[in-house]
Amino acid sequence: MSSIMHTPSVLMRSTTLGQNLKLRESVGDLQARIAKLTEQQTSGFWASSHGELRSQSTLVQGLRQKMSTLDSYLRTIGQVQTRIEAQQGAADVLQKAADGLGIYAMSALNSDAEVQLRQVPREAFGALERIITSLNTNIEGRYLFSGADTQTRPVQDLYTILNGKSGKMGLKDAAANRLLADLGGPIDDATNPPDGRVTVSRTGTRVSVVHDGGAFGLKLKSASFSSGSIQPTAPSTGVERTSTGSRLDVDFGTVVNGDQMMLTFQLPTGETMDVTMRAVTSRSAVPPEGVVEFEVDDDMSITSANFVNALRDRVTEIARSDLAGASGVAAANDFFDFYPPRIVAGTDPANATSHEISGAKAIEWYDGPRGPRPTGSLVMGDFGGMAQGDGVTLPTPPAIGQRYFVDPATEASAGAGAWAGHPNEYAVWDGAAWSFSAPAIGERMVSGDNFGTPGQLVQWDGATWNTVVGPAVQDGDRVVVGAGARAADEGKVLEFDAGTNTWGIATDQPTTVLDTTGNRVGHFNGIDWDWTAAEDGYEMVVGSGTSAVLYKVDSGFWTPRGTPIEDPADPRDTMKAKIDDSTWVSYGARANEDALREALKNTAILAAVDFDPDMVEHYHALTSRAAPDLKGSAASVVDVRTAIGVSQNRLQVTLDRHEDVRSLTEQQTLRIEKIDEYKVAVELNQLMTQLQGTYSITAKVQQLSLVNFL
Amino acid sequence: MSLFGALNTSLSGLRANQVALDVVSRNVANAGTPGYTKKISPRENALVAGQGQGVRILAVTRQVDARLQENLRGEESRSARLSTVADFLKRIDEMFGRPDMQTSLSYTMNEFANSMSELADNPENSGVRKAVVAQADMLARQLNQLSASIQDMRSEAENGLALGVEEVNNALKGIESLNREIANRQAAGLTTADLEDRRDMHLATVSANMDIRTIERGDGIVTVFTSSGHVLVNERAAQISFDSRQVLTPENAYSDDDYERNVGTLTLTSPGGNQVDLLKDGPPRQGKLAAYLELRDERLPEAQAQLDEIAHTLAMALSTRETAATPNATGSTLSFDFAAAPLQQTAAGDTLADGQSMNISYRVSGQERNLTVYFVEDPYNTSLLERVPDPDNSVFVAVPTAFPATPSMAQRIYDAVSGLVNVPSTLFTDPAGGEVLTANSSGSVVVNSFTMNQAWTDTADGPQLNLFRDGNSDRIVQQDYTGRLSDDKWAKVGLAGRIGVNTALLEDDSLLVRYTRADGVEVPDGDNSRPAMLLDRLTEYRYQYSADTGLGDASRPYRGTVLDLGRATVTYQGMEATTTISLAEDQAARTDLLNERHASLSGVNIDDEMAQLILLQSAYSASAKVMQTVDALFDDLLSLRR
Repeated sequence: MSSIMHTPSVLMRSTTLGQNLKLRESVGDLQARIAKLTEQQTSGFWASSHGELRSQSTLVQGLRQKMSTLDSYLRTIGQVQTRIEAQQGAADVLQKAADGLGIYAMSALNSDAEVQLRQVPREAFGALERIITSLNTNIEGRYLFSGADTQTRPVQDLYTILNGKSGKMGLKDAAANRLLADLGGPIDDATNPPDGRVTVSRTGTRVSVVHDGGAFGLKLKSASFSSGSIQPTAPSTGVERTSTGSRLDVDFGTVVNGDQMMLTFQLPTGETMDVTMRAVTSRSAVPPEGVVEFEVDDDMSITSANFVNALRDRVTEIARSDLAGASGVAAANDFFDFYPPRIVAGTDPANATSHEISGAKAIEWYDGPRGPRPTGSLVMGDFGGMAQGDGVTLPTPPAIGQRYFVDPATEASAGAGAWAGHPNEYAVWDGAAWSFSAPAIGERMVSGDNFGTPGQLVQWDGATWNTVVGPAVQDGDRVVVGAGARAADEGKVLEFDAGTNTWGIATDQPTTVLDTTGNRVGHFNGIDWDWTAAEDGYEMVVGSGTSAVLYKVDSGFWTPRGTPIEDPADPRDTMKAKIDDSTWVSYGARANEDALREALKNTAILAAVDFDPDMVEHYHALTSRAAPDLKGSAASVVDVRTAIGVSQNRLQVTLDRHEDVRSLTEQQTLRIEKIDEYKVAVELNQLMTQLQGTYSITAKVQQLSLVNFL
Repeated sequence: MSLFGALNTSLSGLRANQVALDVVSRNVANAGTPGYTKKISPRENALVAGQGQGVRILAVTRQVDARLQENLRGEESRSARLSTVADFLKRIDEMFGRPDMQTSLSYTMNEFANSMSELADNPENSGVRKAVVAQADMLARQLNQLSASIQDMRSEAENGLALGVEEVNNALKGIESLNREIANRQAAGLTTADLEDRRDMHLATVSANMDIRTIERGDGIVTVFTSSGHVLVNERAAQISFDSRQVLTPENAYSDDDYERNVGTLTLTSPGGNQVDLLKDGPPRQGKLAAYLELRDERLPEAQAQLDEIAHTLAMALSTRETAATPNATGSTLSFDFAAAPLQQTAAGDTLADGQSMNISYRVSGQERNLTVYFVEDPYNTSLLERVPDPDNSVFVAVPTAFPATPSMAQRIYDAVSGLVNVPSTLFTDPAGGEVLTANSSGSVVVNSFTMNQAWTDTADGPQLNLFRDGNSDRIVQQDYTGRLSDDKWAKVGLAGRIGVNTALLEDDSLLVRYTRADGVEVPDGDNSRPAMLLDRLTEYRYQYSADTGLGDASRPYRGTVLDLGRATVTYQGMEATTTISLAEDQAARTDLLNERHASLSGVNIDDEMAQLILLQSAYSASAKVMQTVDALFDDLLSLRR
């Protein structure tokens, strides 16, 4: 490949040796070039190693690298598109199922014909099947609605959810138990009609309405008195809280036609119902909406008796319809919104007053990863109440519901009265009589006015109240004021201020707390606290930001478990795919997302509760609450699908862009690397001709030697 | 004058022609012999007492231009060096691979990144996980093979040096004996042309191995010097010795200090007994010896350094746990608290280890700057500066040996940094003995990022993963590679030959996805955070690379992703090979020209000899004719009768 340089001043005499060498060199040179061109022709590339590309080597490598990266992005996009399409399909099925059921149910309600309503459970069953199947969609061995845990099937199968498995109850049994707890007895009991845990009784002209269902039943929320003839019994001014619920005592004065009072009840779902009790001389055939009439009599005892009966009937009516319906919806909420599910505590649902969270007694419908854990605050217990004892006499008049402590000095004193014989016990006045109970060892209270130092956290050790101090009580410790406690602060969370050594009301009132002295989780429902026992594995986040700590029940104790990772609050972020440099697209989904869960929940309760032709109002009430939620949830599913659709669009746009760039890059690379076949062929031809020429000339030159002529 | 005189004269003519014919026949016989120069038989008019008495044959000489020969030898030296180096570099270029073929190192690295990206899409798929492990293994093995090949080439160079030295010694001895003979014969007036040819061949051998200068003395002895002035041959020959190590590994390197040097060196022993280490004082600059030295001590170690840098970056990038500093409420400061987790020490030597570093990148009046703090066992060790990529912007801080550390870690770092001239004084606040180190953005200084980088060796802790470890054979216990700087035997040297995939992964490939998060929860099967982070480290994170690799230099180190480094390495080798090959070709052309000149001056031309033959033939016949005539005249004379 060396060029021939002519230097005219050099004596170029061809010596034999020189001739030989020169010949060999030029022939060898030509042959090498021919070999190179042949190789180029066969391979299609003109360089056989990076070095031959010289300065363009970097460029070519960069282009090839870019194509390889684009290929991997294209492959990722293809896969993600497949998965998203499957998600959209599944969400579509779910949406149609929920929507269809919602429409059917609404039309069944409007048609007033029992026949259609009777079919709702079956329709719901079918819809539930479709919903569960679509949530369990599996493609390429991955479950699409299980967040990052793609190998776990998210939702239990239909039969397990409804009927339970291996001794654990399913939705049907949980709802049935809740119905018993809310109603106080079987719904179709004729001899003992369900009373919604509300007892209406009378002593003379004093009527008592007592709700003792705790977390269940028809909660008595408030009462309003528009006529002076019916007034709450002093010193009470209205509905009073008790340890198991609430009560109202009213005295009947001289009641005349037209006098009325209103009671406000709260259903398990939180909605309120007003019952207006009106005194009338004669009851009308069709009483006005929301009004219950009772006959007035000259004898107030009879009037009050009529009042009691009318109210009892109305309560039973409500129990059999709205309460029963709301109970079903609440049962579904408890079953689907809590992990493990929240069920009626204890073994006697009709008399139960609290929930428990138990994975041992009820099956969990969802196996996938959880969303963000519930957040709450730590408390050291639930207060029994403020203990008061003045050491000398009984308080008069006693406050209804207020819990007093009978200290031995008072009991032994002359003015003990009804308290005699009950030292070291609680005494509670229910308006008619005192009831006594002993404090449990370890029980805590905030000391009242007559204690050595009021406002202290004290703990019963079996003989005395000891002030809980030192490391046990620290600045910032909190407690919940429980039932029967200082009335004004009922239900609030108190915080200890070490500086002033007092308990004050905490500035932020949390609605979820966990009791570190026992496995209890408290939920504030606006009126009172529901305490539920928590099982091993239940988790909660306490605090926020950098000071957030994850607590978990472990062998019966709450243990801090380190800083909780921010579970992506947005379920989309549970799966991310890289589709471009520093660009990620989120496409995850979880079966327990709000929209999907709502649809599932409402469909499930409609399928779980059987239709009883004798208790149509029950199912009617249930459907009228579940159906609008169904339609609403179907609409929310559309939002979820839209969010996924936006990702789809982004993917397509990126795909098109990558494909364009890739083909351009490929062309650029080939332009640099590939040979021009025609050029190579022509060059090859030329060289071969040259070689042939060289051979023939050489042969001739060899013959030209003086030797031949001597 | 007399007939006898004429007879004698033609006899001398005959003799002269005989000798000339002999020379011609020898020339013709050796026409194709390399190294043979044309001989001529000079003659002169034989003067006896002022009168010509015939022809006198002088010693056969050769036609040689000494200066041209000297030039030619010089060019051949150069040519030998370039072609040897080009040869080796071409082999390296071929090893590093063709741009599009699967043999290329950068292709393998790319495939590894691709398989990792596929894993990020399908973390639960065990087939994909196995593919990632297989690709990683392939990459490690390719690095191993390339490293082994480079060291093999170094061993070849070492052996080449030994052989070359032997060749030179033999040639020098030959020159010594020829020098003596030529001197003797010249003194006696005998022909020395053929011996001189032989001597030239020996000189050619020596010059092919090293660059020399020759001086011809008047008495026929040629003195040979090295280009730096050491005498190789005068009356007696010197001897060069080479203490070869036979097999070289990456740890075998040249050093001026004889205790540390563990490769061979050339020692020239003069006839008087003086010894000179040629590598310290006048190494050969041309010739094969120079080529081998260059390859053994510069080029091949550079290629090895490139491979080691790739191996080091791969191992560190994937296994580094990056902890970011905590910003304050307004974002104007970033700080590390050495008394709090995760940097908190609970016992001596607990969390901070040799080789870990802290990096702060900031802008001063718009100019981007970087500062790295390395934690080492002995910060006063001066060789540490050679081991970091950016020595101008690095400081060294001692790892605490006692617990608690005094002075505090934060204070140590602050003190070390304040010693640097080009770092703004407001960058860090004085911790005043406390444990918190704060970097401030104020005025013209803006802090971009402040991170702590620690190599993590626990596979259960994530999401970083020590995918690559030190040790690739079943017979060696695999060790963690954590980038330690303070060891005498720096682990990075030769790492490419030892790097291997973590054996824990070969047993359980789900470790590519599974890890335990900070709150003690293990991530689910389909969670792609670990593969996604590993992919980012390979394709998005930019690192700084040492100037030993030949890419960038100490003041502006080369920056880029790991894949960029692979590409740059392959390109670099290719360019080096091409440049040297084209230099070698140019040199070959120059040498050819000189060769042609020399050949045309001193080589045998058959036609010339034939022409000479014809002349000699006729001269011989003419002389014979003269003798015949003289003979006839004698007969005439003797046949004279009265």
